[in-house]
Amino acid sequence: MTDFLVLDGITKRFGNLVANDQISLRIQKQHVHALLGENGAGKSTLMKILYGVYKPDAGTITLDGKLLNIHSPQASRAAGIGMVFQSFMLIPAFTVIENIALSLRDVGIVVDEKKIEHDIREISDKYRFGIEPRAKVWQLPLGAQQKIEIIKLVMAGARLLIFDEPTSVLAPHEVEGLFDIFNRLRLDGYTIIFISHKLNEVLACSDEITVLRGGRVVGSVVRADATESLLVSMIVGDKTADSSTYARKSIPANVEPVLQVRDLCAKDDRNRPALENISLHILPGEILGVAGVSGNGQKELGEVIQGVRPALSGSIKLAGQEIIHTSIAQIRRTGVTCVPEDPLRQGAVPVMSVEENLALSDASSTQQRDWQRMNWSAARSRASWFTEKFGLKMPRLNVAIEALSGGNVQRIVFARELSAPAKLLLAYYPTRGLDIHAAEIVRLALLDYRDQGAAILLISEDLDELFAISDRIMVMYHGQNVGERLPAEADVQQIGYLMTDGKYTPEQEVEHVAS
Amino acid sequence: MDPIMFIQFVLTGAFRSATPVLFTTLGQTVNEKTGVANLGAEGCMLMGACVGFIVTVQTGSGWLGAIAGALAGGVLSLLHGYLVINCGANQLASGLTLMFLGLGLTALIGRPYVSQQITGFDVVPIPILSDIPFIGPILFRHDVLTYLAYLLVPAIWFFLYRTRWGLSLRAVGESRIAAFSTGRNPALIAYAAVFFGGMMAGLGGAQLSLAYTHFWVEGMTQGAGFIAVALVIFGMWHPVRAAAGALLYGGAVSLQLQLQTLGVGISPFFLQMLPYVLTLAILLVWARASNRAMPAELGRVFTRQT
Repeated sequence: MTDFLVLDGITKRFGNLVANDQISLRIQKQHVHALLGENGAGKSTLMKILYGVYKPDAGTITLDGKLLNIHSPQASRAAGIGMVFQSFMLIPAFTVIENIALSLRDVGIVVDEKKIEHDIREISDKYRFGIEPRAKVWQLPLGAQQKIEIIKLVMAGARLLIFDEPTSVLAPHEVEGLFDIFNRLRLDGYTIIFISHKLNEVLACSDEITVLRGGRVVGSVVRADATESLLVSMIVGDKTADSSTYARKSIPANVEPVLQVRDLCAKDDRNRPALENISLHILPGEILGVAGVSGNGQKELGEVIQGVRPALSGSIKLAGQEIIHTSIAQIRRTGVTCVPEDPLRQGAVPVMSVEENLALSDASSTQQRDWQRMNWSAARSRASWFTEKFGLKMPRLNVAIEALSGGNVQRIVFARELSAPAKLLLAYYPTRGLDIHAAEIVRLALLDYRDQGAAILLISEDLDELFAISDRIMVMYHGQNVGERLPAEADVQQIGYLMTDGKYTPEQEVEHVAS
Repeated sequence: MDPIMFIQFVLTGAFRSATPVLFTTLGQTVNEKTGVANLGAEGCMLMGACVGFIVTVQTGSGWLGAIAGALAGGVLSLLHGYLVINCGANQLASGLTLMFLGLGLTALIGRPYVSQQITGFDVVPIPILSDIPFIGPILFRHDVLTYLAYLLVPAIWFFLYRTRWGLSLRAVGESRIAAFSTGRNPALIAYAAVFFGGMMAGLGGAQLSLAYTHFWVEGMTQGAGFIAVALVIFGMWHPVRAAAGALLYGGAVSLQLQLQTLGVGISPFFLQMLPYVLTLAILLVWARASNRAMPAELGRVFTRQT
C-alpha cells in the first residue's frame, strides 16, 4: 500500500487558539479514512487547510508523492482535491446546472448547458440521486444539495474527496446510501476522507480511523483493530462518558394541552401541499418527538406554528388561544420559542458578536430603565455564564458568530432560546452536527426545560434520540400525522415503517417477525 | 395632427430618448449582478457627456469622443470600485459622493465648451428597412450609438446567461464565498463589472451630448443616472426587462415632448415630471416581486476574507 496523502506537522493558530497542533497523517490510496473527534477537535480546520481555505502556519502536504503548495481552493482543486462542506457552497438562486458549471474547470466560453445537464443526469442515475438538473437549489432539501456537491466533485475530476460531517444532514435511511456511494467511489479509484463524530457510522464505512483531540492526533487505527470502546476512550481522553439514563416524568392526566393543532393545512415553498389536515397536541411538561423522513412537512409544521408560514385552514390553539392570523411577535409573546434548523442563518445575526446574539432575545439585559439603554456588562456576564454552562470553547465573546463552527453556533442559539421560560419550544434537529458530549448537554437541557413545565415539539431524524427523550413519538408522512407511539411500547421497526410507508399493517408485522 | 403620425413621433422619440438611460441601465445591471450598486452612475454619465463632447470638439471625431466618454465614465467608476471593494466602504455613500464629484468636475472642465457646436453623430437610416411605413422611422432611423445600445441588449443577455464569464459574474453577486471557493477572484470580477458599468454610463452620457442634443451643458443628464439605477430594479436585474423599462421611460419623455409641441394645456412642469412619476409608480407595483430576483450580495460590504 502506498501513502496517497501525507500531512506533516500541520499547525494553525487563530489568535491564542491553536486549532491544529503539529498534525501528521498518512492516508492510503482508495481508502475511506475517517477523522473522528469532538466539536472543536480541529477536524474541520485541518480539512480547510487541505482544501486551501486556510493557510497553515507550518507543515507540508504531499499528495501522490508530490509536495503541494496549496495557497487557494483553486490550487487544491487543480491537485485533484475536492470537498463537501458542512454548509454547502451552493448558490440558492442558481439552478443545479449553473451551480455545477461554476465548479467545472473546462467549460467553454459559451456554457454548454445541454451537455452539463446530460452529465448530471448520467451521474444522478448511476447513484440513484434523482436530481432534477433544472431545479433551483433553494427549492431542494439539504439531502439533495449534498448529492449535488458529490456530482460536482466527480465532474470536476477530483481524486481525493473530503466529506465534512456528511451524515448530519441526512435521514437515517439515506446514511446507508451514502456509505454505498463511498464504496462505489472507492472501487472507482477515489480516496475518501470522512469527518464525523458518530462512532457507528465511522465503524460502518471506514478502512482506517484517525482520532483528533484538542487539535492534535491521538492516534490512527485500522478498521479491524477498532472497537467502539477504544475509539470512545481516544475521543474523550480521560473524561468519563456520561451515559445517564433520562428519567421520564409522568404526565398528569386531565390537563389542558399547551398546543392543540386541528386539521391544519399549509403549502411548501413550491406551492405544493406540505401539511394535509394534521392534528396533534402537546401537554405541558411533555416532549412530543416528531419522526419522519426529511421533507414530509416537519419544517412547515414548525413554521406555521411560529407564524412564519401562513396556514390555509385549520386551527392552532396555544394555551387555549387561537394563534392563526396573529403576528409572529404576538405568538412569541404568547410563549413560543424556537431553535431553528439552520441556527446561523435563521436564529442568529451572522455578523453580530456572540454577546450581541445572546442579548437579541433576552429582555433582562436591556432592562436599564432609563431610555431602554442596553446594559452591556450584564449581557456580557450572562454570555460568559452561558458559554460555561454549555461547554463552549471560543477565543473571545466579541467575535462575529459566523466565525464559529456550526456546532458552537447551534449551542449558542440553543442556550439563548432556553434561557427564558416559554410555554412551547420548537426544536429542529437540536443535536444535528454536535458531538457526543455536546449532544448530551443539549438533551439534558431539553429535559430540564420540559421538567420546568414547557411543552416541547422535537423534530429530529435521530431515532435513538427520539426514543431516548420523547414522551410520545408522532410520525409524519406526506404532511399527515400517521401514528403516535409511546417510546416504551414501540420499536424502531414500527416507526421506520410509518416513516417510509405511512402505515404499519399486520402483514408487515408478520414479515418483520419472520425476518 | 394625424393620430397615426402622433403615435409614430412618440415611439420614434421613445427609442431616441431611451438610449442614454438604456446604456446606463444595461451597465448597472451587469454591475449590480456582482453585488455592487453604483449610485454614482449619474456622475459617470456626466463625465461621459462632458469628456466625449470635449474630445469631439478637439478632434472633430464623434467616434473618438464616444470612446473617450466611455473611458471617462469607466475611470470615474473605478474610484467607486476602489472605495467599495478595497476599502470596504458603504456602497450608497461612495456612490453618492461619486455623483457629486462627477457633477462638479464636469461643470469645471466643461465650462469653456458650453456654447460650442459639433457635428457628432447624425441619424443613419438603415437602407430598405427604414422605408417600411410606420415601423421604419421608429426603429431604423437613428444614430449609430442608438443601434449599438439595442444590439447590446441581447449581447449582454447572452454574456450573462450563456457564457462562463457571465456565470462567474452572477456567482459573485449571489455568494462571494461560493465564487471564491470555486477558485474565482470576487474582487477582480466586481472591479471589472464596476468598470463596465461606468463605461456604459459614460457611453450613455456621450450619446446624450454627441447624438441626442449635440451640445454640452452642466448637469445635462438631469437625474437620468438615478432613473437607470431604479430601472435596474424594475428590470429585476435582467437586461431584457431593463431594456423594456428604459423604453417605457423613453416613451414617457417622448410623450411629454410631443404633448408640449402640440400645445396641450397642461403645465410643462407637470409634463416634465411625468417620466419620473411613471418610474416611481412602476417601482411601487414591482418592488415586492423584484426582491426575489435581487442578487443576494447586493450592497453587502466587502470584507477582507471575501
